[in-house]
Amino acid sequence: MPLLDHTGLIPDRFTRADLATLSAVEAPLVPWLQVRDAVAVRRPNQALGVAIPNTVAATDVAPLLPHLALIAIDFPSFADGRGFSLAHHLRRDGFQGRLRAVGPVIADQFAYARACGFDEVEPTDAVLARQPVEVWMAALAAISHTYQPGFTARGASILERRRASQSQVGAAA
Amino acid sequence: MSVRSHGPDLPVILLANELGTGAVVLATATGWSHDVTAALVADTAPAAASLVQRGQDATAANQVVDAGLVPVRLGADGTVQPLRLRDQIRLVGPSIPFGVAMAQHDGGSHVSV
Amino acid sequence: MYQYDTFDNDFVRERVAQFRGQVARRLSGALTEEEFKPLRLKNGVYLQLHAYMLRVAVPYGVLSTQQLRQLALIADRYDRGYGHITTRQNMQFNWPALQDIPDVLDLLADVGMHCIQTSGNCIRNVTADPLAGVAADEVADPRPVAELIRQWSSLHPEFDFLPRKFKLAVTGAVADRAALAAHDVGVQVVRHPQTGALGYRVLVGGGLGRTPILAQELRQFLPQDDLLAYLEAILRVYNLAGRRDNKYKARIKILVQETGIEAFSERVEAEFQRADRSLLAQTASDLAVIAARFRLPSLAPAPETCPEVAGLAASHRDFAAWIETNVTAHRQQGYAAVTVSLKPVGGIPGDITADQMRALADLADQYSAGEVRFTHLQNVVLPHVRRDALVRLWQGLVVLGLAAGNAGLITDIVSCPGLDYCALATARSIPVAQAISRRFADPVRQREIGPLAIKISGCINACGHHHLGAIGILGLEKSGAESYQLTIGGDASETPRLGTLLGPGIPQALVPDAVEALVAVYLAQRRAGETFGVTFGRLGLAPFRTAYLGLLQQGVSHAAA
Repeated sequence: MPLLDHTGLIPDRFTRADLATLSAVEAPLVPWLQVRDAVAVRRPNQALGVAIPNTVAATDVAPLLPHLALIAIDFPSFADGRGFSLAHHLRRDGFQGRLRAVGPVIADQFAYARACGFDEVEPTDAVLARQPVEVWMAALAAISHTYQPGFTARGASILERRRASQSQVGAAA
Repeated sequence: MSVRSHGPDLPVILLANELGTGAVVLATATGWSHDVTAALVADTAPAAASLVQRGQDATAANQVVDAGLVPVRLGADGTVQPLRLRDQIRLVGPSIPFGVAMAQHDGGSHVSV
Repeated sequence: MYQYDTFDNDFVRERVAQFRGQVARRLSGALTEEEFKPLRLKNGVYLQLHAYMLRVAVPYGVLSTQQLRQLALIADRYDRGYGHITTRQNMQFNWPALQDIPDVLDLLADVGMHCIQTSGNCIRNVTADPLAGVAADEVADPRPVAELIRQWSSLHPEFDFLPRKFKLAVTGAVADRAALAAHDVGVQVVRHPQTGALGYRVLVGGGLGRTPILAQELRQFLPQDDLLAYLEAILRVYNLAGRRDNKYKARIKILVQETGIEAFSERVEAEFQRADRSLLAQTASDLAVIAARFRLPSLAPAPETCPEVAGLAASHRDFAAWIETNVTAHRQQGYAAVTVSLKPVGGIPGDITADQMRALADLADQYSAGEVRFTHLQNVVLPHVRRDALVRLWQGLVVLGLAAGNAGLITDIVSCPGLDYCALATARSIPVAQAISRRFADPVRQREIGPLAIKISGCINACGHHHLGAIGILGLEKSGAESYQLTIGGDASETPRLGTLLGPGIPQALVPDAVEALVAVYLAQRRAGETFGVTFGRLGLAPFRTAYLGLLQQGVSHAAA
């Protein structure tokens, strides 16, 4: 399955696995229902990823965050935006590993996904066939101005920049 | 995107909207037209199925959107009239004068001065 | 009105370029219709029965004459010479070509306008009291708040794929002229009863449509600086928990109803407590910066009483009527807010031609400090008219056919476009509005009846807000024919009420008779000074239902005869 981040197509170091097969792979990506056991049985420094449906509450994932290198959130359809809030919660709870959006996400959602804390997207083959990686990169570049604080670099949102330029004006006056 | 089919009601024509303009078009024997007198009328199930396929092909080719079969009645003079009010309106436009025509028509508002 | 700064301009231009690319990808097939549809909806592009429809955002209904002239130019160049004002203060064009829309968006961007998020499962246009900044009863002008909410909600990365649409309205007074009760979130600017500090009363969970529900109070007082963090908390709870299994149960009103307002409030508070408030807690500061970019007209002192006005009113019945219904007090002495009715007798509610738009722009330049408002009752307001200019303004409106003195009266009908345009409709609404309007055309009779809000929707989605009409009309399809259900007693004010169904549906031809029958009950039984809604509240449903069912019986026997 193709994997993209802001640099383009990237190799996937994770392999989908379950409790039976995780010892045989470098970095297993296990289903949500098996993750607690996987934390217990994996090798000491083995990177572990979990694939979660977008209906899981961030509070249920919170205790596992220190053990996870990757959380892959399922997008059952591009119209289902729950993953964006779930990602926001996970980042707010302090998750510093990789966040991946998985499913029929479209290129026009790439910038939003990154703004909400996703590092990478694993779109379907069908979508990538119609929207090759150049389209994804162009879509990312298409929107550079964001109004909302908290969804871009600190101070870079329009509301913050406007406030800052105003106080400069005030200071100069 | 699938084309709406309409069950056993016959005869039918195929209506759609041009992708680029939104204008209503009908499937004819050879292609598409804005002119209802050129519409291909299907009065058998296989002919209707063939129209459905035409709609699907044109949709997949990014020529039209919202293609669907429309049941019609045939007048004695060969005119084609959709059965449902919604389809009649879709074919000929709003049922009332609108826009500039409405403003000129002036539904009767007279302010005495 | 608000003046875009370079940030706002760059933002809109970027969005136009993005949509231009999306249209190109759709035309080439790189995007399927299924993928393109949510993207085009977020730029206000619908597919109607016989053309695309483009919905232009008019934030809180305010626009400059420059913007109005640009809408007229677009109507002429890319449409069929007219536009339509909606029940959310927006303007709709009914005939643009998809391939032309990126050019239209560029023309809109030239005057600081756009179509962003006027449709789709995202946060929609923020509406406000059409008398915002003008009414004397305001605690504060709500428009800067509406503008801040607009910016905060524009392309919000987390909230652009909600379970369903999300509509906000803002008012600055206790009197609710923006129908907060019908909105997903309503924000009322208030003063803290003890400290006098400005803050907000927040309502949640209102909405019309298949399951009409009035909004409930979520927060009695929210400090100014907490506004954006609190709205984010509401949206986040909704985004995560709103139903996505059933389109008709996906609004926040259903979530609030199924959760209960107490439990829902706890969820929002919990989310709010965990928010990074430092990021968003500059709301008061943001507001001040935005308010400074509102160009408020400097209105020279003017006399409150004008012999010219009184003189003409004494001698000219239509002018007197217009003064009484269409002219509203302004917070500044000597001025008035004037309602320009887009409901001429037999006309299409809310429609305005390009020529009328340009002429109205000229009048607004001359008499209203260059500012115009679109209202959710589908009329236009000229907000800053000198009283000593009222005669000349009225004469100018007469020439345009826009001088109907019927604001709030029975012919000031609100109607969605209905089956004549809309792919969602089940029946026509415009011909019904026209027939009622013609039946009650007599201005003397209209004044005798007094204020009576008729609202018509051509389908269950209730874009005509029929649930809130004193008389509401819902057009459905029954056995292949148009059938209309009537409701009574709705109220869109700060004492909101949903209308009650009168009985079985009736054919289109009977609707004006049905309205006559209801009006007759009211006229026969009202006490001095009672409006229709008050009489209904006192009498209850029974006499109105009796009259309605009696008419049905007659209608049945006429049909059988």
